[in-house]
Amino acid sequence: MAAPQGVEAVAYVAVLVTAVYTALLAAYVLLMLGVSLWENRFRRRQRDTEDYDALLGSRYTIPVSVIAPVFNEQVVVIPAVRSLLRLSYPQLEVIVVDDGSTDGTLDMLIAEFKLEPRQVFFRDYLAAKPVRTVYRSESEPGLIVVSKDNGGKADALNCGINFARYRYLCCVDGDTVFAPDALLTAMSVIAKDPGRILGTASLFGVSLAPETALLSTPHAAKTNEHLLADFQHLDLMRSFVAYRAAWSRLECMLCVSGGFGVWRRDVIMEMGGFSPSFTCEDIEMTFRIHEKFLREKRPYRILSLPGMVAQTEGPKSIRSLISQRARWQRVTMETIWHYRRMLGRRRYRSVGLVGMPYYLLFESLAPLFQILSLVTLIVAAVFGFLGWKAYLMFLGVMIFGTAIPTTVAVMLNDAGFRGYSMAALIRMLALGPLDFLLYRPIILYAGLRGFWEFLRKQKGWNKFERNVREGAPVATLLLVMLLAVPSAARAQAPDAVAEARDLARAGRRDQSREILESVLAQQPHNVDALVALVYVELWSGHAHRAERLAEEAVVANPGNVDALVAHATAQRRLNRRPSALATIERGAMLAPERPDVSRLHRLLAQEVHGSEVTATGSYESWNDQRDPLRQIQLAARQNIPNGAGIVRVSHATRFGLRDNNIEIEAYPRIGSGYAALSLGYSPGAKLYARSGVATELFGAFRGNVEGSIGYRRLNFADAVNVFTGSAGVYDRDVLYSVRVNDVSGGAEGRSLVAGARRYFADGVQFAGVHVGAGSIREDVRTQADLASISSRTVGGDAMLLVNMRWVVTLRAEAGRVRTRAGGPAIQMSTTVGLGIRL
Amino acid sequence: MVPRFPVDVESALSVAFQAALALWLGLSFYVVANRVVYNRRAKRLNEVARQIANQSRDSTFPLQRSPALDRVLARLPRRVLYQLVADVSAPPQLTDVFAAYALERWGLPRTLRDASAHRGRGKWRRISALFALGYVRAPGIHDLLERALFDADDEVASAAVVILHRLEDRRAAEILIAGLRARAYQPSRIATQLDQFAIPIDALLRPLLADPLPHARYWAVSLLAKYPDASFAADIAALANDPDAAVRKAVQATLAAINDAAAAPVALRGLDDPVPYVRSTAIRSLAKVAAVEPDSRMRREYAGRIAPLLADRAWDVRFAAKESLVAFGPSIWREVSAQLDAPDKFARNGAAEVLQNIGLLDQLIDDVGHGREPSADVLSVLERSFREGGAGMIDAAAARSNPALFPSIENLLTRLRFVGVRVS
Repeated sequence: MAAPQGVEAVAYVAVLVTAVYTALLAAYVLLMLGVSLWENRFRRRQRDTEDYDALLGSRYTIPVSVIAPVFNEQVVVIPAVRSLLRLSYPQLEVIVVDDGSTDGTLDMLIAEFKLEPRQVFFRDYLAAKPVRTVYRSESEPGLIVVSKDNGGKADALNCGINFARYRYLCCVDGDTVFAPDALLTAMSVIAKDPGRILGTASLFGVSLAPETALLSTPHAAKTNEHLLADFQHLDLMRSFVAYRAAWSRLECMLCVSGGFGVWRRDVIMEMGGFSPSFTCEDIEMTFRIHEKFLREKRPYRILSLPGMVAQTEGPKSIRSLISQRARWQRVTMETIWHYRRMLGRRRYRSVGLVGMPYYLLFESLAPLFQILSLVTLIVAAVFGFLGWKAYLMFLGVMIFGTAIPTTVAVMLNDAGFRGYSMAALIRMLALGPLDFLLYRPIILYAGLRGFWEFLRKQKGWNKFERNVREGAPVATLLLVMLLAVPSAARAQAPDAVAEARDLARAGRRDQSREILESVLAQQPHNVDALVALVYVELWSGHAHRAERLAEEAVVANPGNVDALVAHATAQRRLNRRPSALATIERGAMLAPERPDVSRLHRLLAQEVHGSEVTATGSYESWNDQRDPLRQIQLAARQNIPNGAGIVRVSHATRFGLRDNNIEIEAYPRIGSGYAALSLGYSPGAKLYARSGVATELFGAFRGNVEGSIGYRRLNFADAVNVFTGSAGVYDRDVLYSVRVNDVSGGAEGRSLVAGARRYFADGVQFAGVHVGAGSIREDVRTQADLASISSRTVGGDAMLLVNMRWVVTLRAEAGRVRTRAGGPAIQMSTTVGLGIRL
Repeated sequence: MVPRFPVDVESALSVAFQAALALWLGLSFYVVANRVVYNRRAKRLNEVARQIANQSRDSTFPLQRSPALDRVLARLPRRVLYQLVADVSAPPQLTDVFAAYALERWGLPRTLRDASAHRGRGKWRRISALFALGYVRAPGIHDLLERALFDADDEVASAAVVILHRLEDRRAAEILIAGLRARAYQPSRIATQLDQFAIPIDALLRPLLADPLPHARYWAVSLLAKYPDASFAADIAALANDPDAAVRKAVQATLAAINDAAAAPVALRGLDDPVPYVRSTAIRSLAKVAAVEPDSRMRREYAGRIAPLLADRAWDVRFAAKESLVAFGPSIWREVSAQLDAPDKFARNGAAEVLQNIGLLDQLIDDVGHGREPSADVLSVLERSFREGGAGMIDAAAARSNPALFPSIENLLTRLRFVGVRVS
């Protein structure tokens, strides 16, 4: 295919940029692999000659305060804390900071470690959210559990530091299970030069169930045997063994991961503690220390050690992985941007000259370059700049080239530790080339999303939903069940609440509200009454009040699934879908077996992150001799937390004419409403308008009222302007609406459509009827519609969701249409659509 | 128009593809092959270990009696054997055999040459050679290790420290002590090994007590804590007023560890030391002495001296005072409760925390709950503790108590003028 000249020039430049970028990356990677070979060998020999037994038995080994912030980690918190308490180390304390968990994390800790509340007066050196209660353990004297208001991980770490008594801090994640020698290995290196070594990181692996992952016998560790988890595992291994080891040797190690990082306490205090202003605290702290010590020309080192010290829980689903990696991308960009003054400056030595350029080019901007490469190569192949053979060759280079760092990482890890079984080793090697095809696209997408989130200055943690354990430990399941069991208060007024529910269903909401409020006056935290009242308020159109009540119910009963469902429903009604998703994720963790929970969870996940592909066919015929209109549409929709985007391609045939149309639509969320924006283009302009633009603003108002106002311009031979507006009101699940269209320009006329649509329980599926009348067709899309001078229609539509995945849409309409060319004719149209949610 | 690139893209990509594929295949093959070799070697070495374990260590050299063993070792490359010799985690009987074999195979002169010095990456060979010579106690090994200890390379010095500990003779201790004094290597790492010497080295450490270098005195005092039967306690006690604070701190800790008669008076003096960490060590030492003090009057006196330090300006000292007073147990509640009226807020809430942690408050609540009426002054302690401890202390105490006692606790709180406080 010949390319337009402009495209050719752009593509040529883009190919060159891609080639230079790839070559630079390859050179950098090869250099780093060389250095990491050296560093790994050094660390291996250093370990061999280290007398760990002497350190373990010595009173001179430096004591350490381990700080483990936890937030909603009930699935893994007990094994994680147990593993910390079992660390082989002469003197340590474990400070678990519960950052205002809303699940059963704190209850589990209290029960498992026989915690007792104590009033403790502690140093308030670093600012942190208020401490609620401090617990000491009867069974574990070295354990302190601090319960505090939620403030994020950095805040929790700062709080833990206020309680820490020793000179070194080991900051860990609460979802990570540690090997017994983790701390000793790290501290043995620090103890060689405590004056200079300010911090160390160590490799940790990814597991779907970390509590079981460290039970393997030596030389027989297995992989997860789950593709996504193994790719993540390899990703971390590659990062630590192949790259961070090299940066460590070159003194530009820029990220002491939050999963396991040892820091000198006086340095953290000097820095003012971890910063809650960034999405993640770990990389920023590492940058901050580098910046300060290099600026002040103070000697120091920050190391990364290649030994695997822990297993952390990795996301099992692609959606969760994307969410996590988008956060990583975002924090990398936040940090690079914040410390941009270090870039390329000799004053900051290898950090400014080696580490920062890598992070900028090959981490922060990587998604942009990667997408550019992808598009460029496709364009180049399509237009013939690059033959298909060359294209495939390039793909092959990328597949095997990107496998090299993984392979080297596996090689170095095996040479150093011989931890894996032969089968696991071969599996990891084989996954190397597949990484590019199966894993990198996900990371690329996550990177782009993180990039976008960075531009939008989002700061959320996006904690991923914990993996459901197959054959979950009995204790965990019991606890989950206990938390979901109705509270004692629940049984006290069951009749009144049931009566109120019946009244609400019968539409007598005021009476229902009165009863529920009287129950709540007696028992302010009666969760059943609160939940029932939430729905009453929702049905009454008081969504904000419903949301407040639901939040109250959740705070009073954090483990109650009904409360979480009600809260999520109210948030969804207020168009706060990301928050609703976070809420229902907690419900899904507590009661994965409940169909209503999993349905709402999947629905919200779809609405927040999901995508959908739909194929629609329509057939429109008349009872006179007019040629029928056949139309096929393909649409791809991608939802994002703040709206959705749709690309729609249409193909129509009539009178022997064929025409195509492409539309791009965006639905950004605005407050409790949204906007609909659309751009359309038809290259042939035989049946469709040459181009079109549309915008419409939708709003939801008090009293379950919603409305919209919009404008549409269709550039037929004579341009047509359509002014449109709608109003609707919900009565429980039925939406009554009316829409008015005013057409001017190339055609003139007005039309009105009135309809009623019944939504089913999930608020997505519906069935409806409508009638329309006007001096022009109610929906102007094609040239033929402009010819109508009067129209009367009646029709119905429905949308069905099968297995939460398949979307079936049906629409049928019959009408009497009169055109300028002839008398009235009966028009029939049928539309059938099938879509799949991804 | 095509191609537009300055090079033949297709050919270049073809070469790059082949190179990438070959590299990936080669590396993967290497990893698997290397592991196979390792597994086979590990299997053979396990067999060696079993054979060695079955033979008496006192018999003639096992290699002479086991041709099979000799064959296994003969197949090991020098690099691998050297690595095995220097592997500290390997069982000593195995490393002894490896070391002896290495010397036999490559000869003493060559091993001595390897162990003498290094350049660049040869340091690991030097370290392995030092280990080999150390295990067989080769002549001249002490001199080599002394030189290694003072080497500028940290890894060489570290290995020397480990090997000297394994030699565990007087000369090795002398070298380590000299290294400690000269700060040849990280002193705490040298002290770690000296502290675990099986042979007594107190006589070697004692001269350091009079050393002009403060850190030498510090380490000497600290390491001597291991020798309870101390004839040198007076010499240590004499350093209680040493101009160096670290030495004074070590004196406090060591005298308490050896439970010398001077420990208590020295610790009591240390409570007034101008340096915070000396004061906190003195507090902990005094608590340690009190733990073995049979006279309860003396114990209370010690507690009475520590309690005012709850108001110390340094947090570490206050923390040490709180922890130490808790270690005394409930018997010293009067001494602690006196601080509830101290002008300093730290002292007051510290005292309340100590009274909570020694179980006094729980005991009082339990008594009241069961109808055992405490005396007025005891109730006063409870009232003042709650006053200083605040709502958090009341809530925590209630949460620790039996729920059946809640009404009694609420009554008690009302009597103590905590009006409107409810426990649940």
